Amino acid sequence: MLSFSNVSFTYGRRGKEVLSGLSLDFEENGIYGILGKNGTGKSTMLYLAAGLLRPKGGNVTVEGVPTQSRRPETLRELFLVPEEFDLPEVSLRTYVQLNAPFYPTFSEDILARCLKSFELGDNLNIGRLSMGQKKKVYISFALAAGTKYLLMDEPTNGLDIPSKKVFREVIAREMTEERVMIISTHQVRDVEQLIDHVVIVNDGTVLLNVSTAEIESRLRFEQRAVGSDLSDALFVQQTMRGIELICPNSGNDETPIDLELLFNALQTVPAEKLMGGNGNNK
Amino acid sequence: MKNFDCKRYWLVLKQNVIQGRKRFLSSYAGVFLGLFLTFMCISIGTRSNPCYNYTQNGVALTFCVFMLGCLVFGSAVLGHLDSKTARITALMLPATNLEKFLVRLTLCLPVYWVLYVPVFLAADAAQMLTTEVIGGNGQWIAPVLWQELANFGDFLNSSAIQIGDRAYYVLWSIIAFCTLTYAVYIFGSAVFRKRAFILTSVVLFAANILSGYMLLSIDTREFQLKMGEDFTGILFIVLMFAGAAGLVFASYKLFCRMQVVVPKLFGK
Repeated sequence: MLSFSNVSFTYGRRGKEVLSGLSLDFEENGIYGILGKNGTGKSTMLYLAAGLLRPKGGNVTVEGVPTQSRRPETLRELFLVPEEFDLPEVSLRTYVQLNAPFYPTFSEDILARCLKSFELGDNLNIGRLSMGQKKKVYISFALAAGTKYLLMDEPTNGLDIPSKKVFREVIAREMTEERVMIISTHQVRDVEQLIDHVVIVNDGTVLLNVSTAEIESRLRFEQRAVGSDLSDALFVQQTMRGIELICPNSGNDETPIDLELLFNALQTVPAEKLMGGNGNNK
Repeated sequence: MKNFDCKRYWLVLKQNVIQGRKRFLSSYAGVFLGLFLTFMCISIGTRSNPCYNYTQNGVALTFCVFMLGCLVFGSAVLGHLDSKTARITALMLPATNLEKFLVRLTLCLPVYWVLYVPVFLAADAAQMLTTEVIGGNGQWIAPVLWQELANFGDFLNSSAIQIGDRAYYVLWSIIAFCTLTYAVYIFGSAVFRKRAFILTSVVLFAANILSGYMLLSIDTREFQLKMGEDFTGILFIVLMFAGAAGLVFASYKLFCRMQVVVPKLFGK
């Protein structure tokens, strides 16, 4: 389990506190989406999880081992796809030969499958690819590494629309029961079909931490015409298409989750009111 | 948990060399160019002076360029971590901090010492070829250098230097001083990362001025008389070696504590 325990973090000595007393657990067989406005600490959470930053307070641990110690045994279980990264000017073959040995669970089959899905050959000079192509290669390598924890920071940035669809397919296909994927993004539409657990952060704290199943069972996301009865609405948003709203789910049928609407709702409606007292459940 | 695994060390070394080969090759191209231009400058500059001892001066300049290269390469030990993306790649690699640090030390120290030889030979051949074409005072430096090294080796092995001789302490003082200076630049690469060589040189220059002034203010004659010149000399040498070891260890510790986001003063 990847665990944040009362974690606080500030950039620099006098900077604003980005995370404050944050406690969160990421368990197996889950694709977690970390959503939030710019500057709310989404990337910081991933860097803390990867051991690239040291918390000012609290602990971040993987299987009980602090990630900041950056032990190889921990790093073998973690792979980070950052928003920006460098790839050396070598062939993909060479890159795999040099880096795959560090990951005992690396799979050439998964790499080949992912590259094929992204319509990339294996005879590439990865340093000379476009940003989008580099991202596809990096994501393919990350999935092939077979690490238990896969952290992705804005993974769909730089991907064209068809590639975003392929990304979702590839992630869904390569997800396993032992794996934990944590995707930090503000492009909620790109990942809302994928994630099964939503974490929304704001001002250094967790606003919402629930499974999508919980959201679907408690809330309905509807579109109604202007002038409709809105007395049951917990949150209402006027759009070009009419009125989008969130209301309690009192029936048995569920509606697809609109993460963008949920996110906007949480800016004004407390999570406890929205979720009926279950705003921060696993 | 093992802090050092030979197999993993070699994997990290191989990865660093092959993925960083552009930077690697351009560094040695810089050394070649430095040597070649130095040789050509004295070759052409002394063209009209047939009595000028080109080869002896060439040997001296070879050592000077070597020493300067040691400091430049020393300040590059952690210089590859000068960007956020480079730090992410390096820090996320599943190897221990010790293995990663030792790989960088290996590439910037002993590998440089070894590769300096073929680079020097190439520069020597290039200056001879160029002299043949454009004229100048150029002559083969390599045989003279080899002879000088052989002479120095004989000198060390002879009874000319004994423990207690002034020359003995001077020799070890020079070695200790060079080691300490090397270590200062390695430490500089851990602190500054960007423009490490220039910044470390500035700081070292200022520190030398300050320490020279302080030493002049302290009367060490009484201490030397009391403890003996031998002891003072040995103490000085030991302190310099200890200082060097401390600085390298401090560099390693700074590397272990490195984060992906660094204070703006030291880099991006």
